[in-house]
Amino acid sequence: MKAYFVITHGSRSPRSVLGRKLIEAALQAKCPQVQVGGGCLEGQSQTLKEQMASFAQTLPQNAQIIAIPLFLLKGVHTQIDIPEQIPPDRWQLTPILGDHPSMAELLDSQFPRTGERYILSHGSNYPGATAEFASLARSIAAQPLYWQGEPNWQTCPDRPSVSVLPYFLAESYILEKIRTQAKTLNLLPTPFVPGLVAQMAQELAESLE
Amino acid sequence: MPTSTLPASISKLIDRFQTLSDPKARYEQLILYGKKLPPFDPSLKLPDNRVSGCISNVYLTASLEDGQVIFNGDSDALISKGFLGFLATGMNGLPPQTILQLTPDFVQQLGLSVSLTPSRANGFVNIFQTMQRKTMALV
Repeated sequence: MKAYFVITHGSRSPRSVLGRKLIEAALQAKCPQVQVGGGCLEGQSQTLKEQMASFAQTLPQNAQIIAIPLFLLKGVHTQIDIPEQIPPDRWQLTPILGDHPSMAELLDSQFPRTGERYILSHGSNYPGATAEFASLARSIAAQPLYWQGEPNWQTCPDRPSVSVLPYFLAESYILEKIRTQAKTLNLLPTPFVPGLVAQMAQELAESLE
Repeated sequence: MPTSTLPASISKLIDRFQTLSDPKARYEQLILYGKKLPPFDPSLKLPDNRVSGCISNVYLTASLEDGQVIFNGDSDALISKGFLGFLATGMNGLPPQTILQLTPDFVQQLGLSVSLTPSRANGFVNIFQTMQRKTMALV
């Protein structure tokens, strides 16, 4: 038997869990033979390790479990925190969502045909994380921006020709704050609707097989 | 996703496409779904209703009636309007949770040369994304 366990960052807001549950439901509908579950790194009463253990207990002993980190940057969470919590037996870890081979094409498809392109990421202090993101942005002729870090989103020119694509898994407090503070900035919707993320998650899981 | 796990309304549309062996006939069928869309109020062609990323201008709305989602929309391009009409025909009347469980790869079963990966050339994924996004806003 096979099982998929999606991992999101999580927050104290119930909305973040709801977003993950929608992705899990779409993945379960797409893969009826696989048992699908999920957990959050933060904002839960249980640690991620405990959430994974609870999920594993619902499965047969011989079940192969594939953990799918729905993270977009190779930051400290994906490079250290999550791998540290993955049990050594019967668990496998896929590449992060940001490493999906169609990511550049997906981001490219979100922009208007003409105009200046910017992609807004959370940012990370982990070595190499932002360089890799900047490279992804430039591959589709976009400029990188960060919520935390430089170039900061507040330096983004606010003119009609500019479109800013949020590289965030879901609409969040951060994006709400930006939309409130920069009312005229053309901040596009995040590309990651549940059905699309579920499809990409399945493809990442199948890439291990 | 095997056709059997899709909602019956979508499986039925896919079955109809699969009876057509000629790719040209499949595109004609797609365009026909666009033509079947009810008239779209021009005052609803607002930035919030525009499908981002599409090369053509595609607008769509979603509303909830008795717990069922109803989509409508318009496009100035035949293929985009066809995808819009196809998706609206397949998803109208479904509850939000069912729509949010769909993944866009069922488009491959139509036998059209539509890439599974999001592509600026067809806009299918962009339309699908906007429909799911608007559905999320309804729940």
